[in-house]
Amino acid sequence: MRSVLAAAAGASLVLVALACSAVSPDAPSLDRDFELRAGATARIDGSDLTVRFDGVPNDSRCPTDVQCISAGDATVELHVSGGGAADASHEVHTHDEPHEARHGAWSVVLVKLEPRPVSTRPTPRGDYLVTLRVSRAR
Amino acid sequence: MSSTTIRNRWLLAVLVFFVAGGLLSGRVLSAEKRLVHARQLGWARLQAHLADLRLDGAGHALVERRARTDERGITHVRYQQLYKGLEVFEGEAITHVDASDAVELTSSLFGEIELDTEDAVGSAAAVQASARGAGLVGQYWAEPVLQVLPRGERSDVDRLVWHVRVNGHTATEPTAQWDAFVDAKTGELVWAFDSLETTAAIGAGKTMYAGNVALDTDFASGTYALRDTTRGGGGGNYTCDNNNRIDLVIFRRPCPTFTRATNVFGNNMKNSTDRSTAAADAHYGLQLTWDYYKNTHGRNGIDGAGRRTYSRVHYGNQYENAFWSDSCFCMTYGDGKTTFFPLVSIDVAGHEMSHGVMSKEANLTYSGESGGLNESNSDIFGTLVEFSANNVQDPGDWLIGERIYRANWNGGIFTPNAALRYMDEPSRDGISPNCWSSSLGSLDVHYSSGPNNHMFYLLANGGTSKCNGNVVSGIGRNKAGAIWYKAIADYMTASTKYAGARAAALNAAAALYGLGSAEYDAVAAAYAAINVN
Repeated sequence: MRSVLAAAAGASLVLVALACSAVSPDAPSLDRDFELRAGATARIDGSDLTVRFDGVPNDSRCPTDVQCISAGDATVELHVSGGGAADASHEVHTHDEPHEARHGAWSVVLVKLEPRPVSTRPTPRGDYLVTLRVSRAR
Repeated sequence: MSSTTIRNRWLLAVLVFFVAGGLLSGRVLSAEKRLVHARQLGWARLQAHLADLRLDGAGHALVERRARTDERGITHVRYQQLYKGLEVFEGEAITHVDASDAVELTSSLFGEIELDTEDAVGSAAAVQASARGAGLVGQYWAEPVLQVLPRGERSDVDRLVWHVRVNGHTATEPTAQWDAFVDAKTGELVWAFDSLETTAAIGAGKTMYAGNVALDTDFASGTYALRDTTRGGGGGNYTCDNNNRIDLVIFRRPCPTFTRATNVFGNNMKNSTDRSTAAADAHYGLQLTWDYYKNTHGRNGIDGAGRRTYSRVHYGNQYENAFWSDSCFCMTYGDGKTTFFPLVSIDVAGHEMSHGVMSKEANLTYSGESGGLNESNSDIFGTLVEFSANNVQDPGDWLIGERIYRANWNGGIFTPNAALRYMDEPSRDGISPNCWSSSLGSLDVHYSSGPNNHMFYLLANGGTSKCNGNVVSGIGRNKAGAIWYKAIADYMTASTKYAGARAAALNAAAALYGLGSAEYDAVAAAYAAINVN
């Protein structure tokens, strides 16, 4: 019984460790869409560039359960390091400008933010999943 | 209060009937003698009725409540029914005796009551059950009286009840009064009704976009509330403070109605610390929209049956949107942040409430082309409400939401540089197309509305199409609005797309003005002007 409990505890620790992982295990490629959960960081393959998704401080997108005056907008906070530029925090938007964060010679584009809100409860930070694409800035 | 005490109270109230004796009719009597005479005649008539109802046995009684002789010389004597000394709720009779001694009877007496009148539930427990049933929170006051609730509309059987009047406040209402009936044998809450008697009042709304306006408010217990008892059933439409919360359902957060000691709401400031300013705008917009539908289309409220609705302001934290929810049957408004001031202008209120109307009519699915038409419907009626309001501070125009844009205000001077949508030229927003195309349904509904918005502008106002240069002769807002309203009410279905909307509008125009009429042709021309043929 003790060994079963120990195994379960060990498995739980592994799961917790994975959930709290600061760096996305798969390094996304340049010019390819990739997903980040709020709080997670991705190192871009073949570079020293890292992108962290810090959260969504404002989400006024039209909730799925109601009918709105506008499509609305959400603000996504990103923190970008490396790439030959000083570490910087950026705000990008789902609807309003900018959709893109410039970081030195790099461009981080907000492709999608999920899930859409519902009107009766706030979206937990950990539920947010952002889709980004990193490219060389033109 | 014990049943014995109550019984004694009523027994003390029983009037002793004096028999004046002799036939008094036909003689000129003093007013006092006339009253005594009329009482006698009426009472004799009533006795026969009591026998018919088997109310002449032990335990049954009537007490006089009031007697008066009216300006036509008819004496009306009102009686309350008692059973074993307890008042029978709504058990009443009135005798009417005219100057010629003709007797009439009005009766709502209840016969064949058989009850044990010893209560098993104390008044304290009955009061608690009543307060709980009324949703009262905090301190409250109650008056319990033991009564008989007869079988009929209020109860399926004759019951001994505690009739409890409770006063206090609920999570959403600053003043509440309910009459509750608790079964005195079982403790069950049998029935209750809202018995608060309030007074409709006209308040001063110092709005942020529409200047100083008259608001229909409510006065009760020394407090004015943003509750409009003249519109909406069940107590009237109201406006409440959402207290910047979102978690409305999970934690059952209340949205209290705005109240003030004086009948003034708001201070005209867009960056207002007075939370009632946004409320004044929302309340005003609801009044205007309600009246527009009633006066223009003969529609009684959102559902056509006068169901009450409400507006929630200060939703979320710096929330830059506003919405209609079928779930709460209400409108909700954010405060805005960087792009918007509070989203409570007239056209926004009209837009949101019209989503509710749409949900009760064609109920166009909120996706693809039908979703764009749903949005366009709200823009159309939001605009028509704005025109019908004829407010000099926010006159009618073909822009949506222009007053809420921070960028349009500079030192209190308004310049309409930006808007959510432009019905005269939808593409001005950078996304909405002017023309219908087969890919239109892939757009967000707030942009696939564009072509239909432009169609309506051309139909009502006339002009040159921004889509294909066609020139359309307008038929005016009233006719265009009547056609569109009939189209959504009678011809469109949930899945209607642009082609179906054209057919619906043509059917509506034919029904209202005739097949081949100028109005019918104008509809065809307006749709052709957005490439829908």
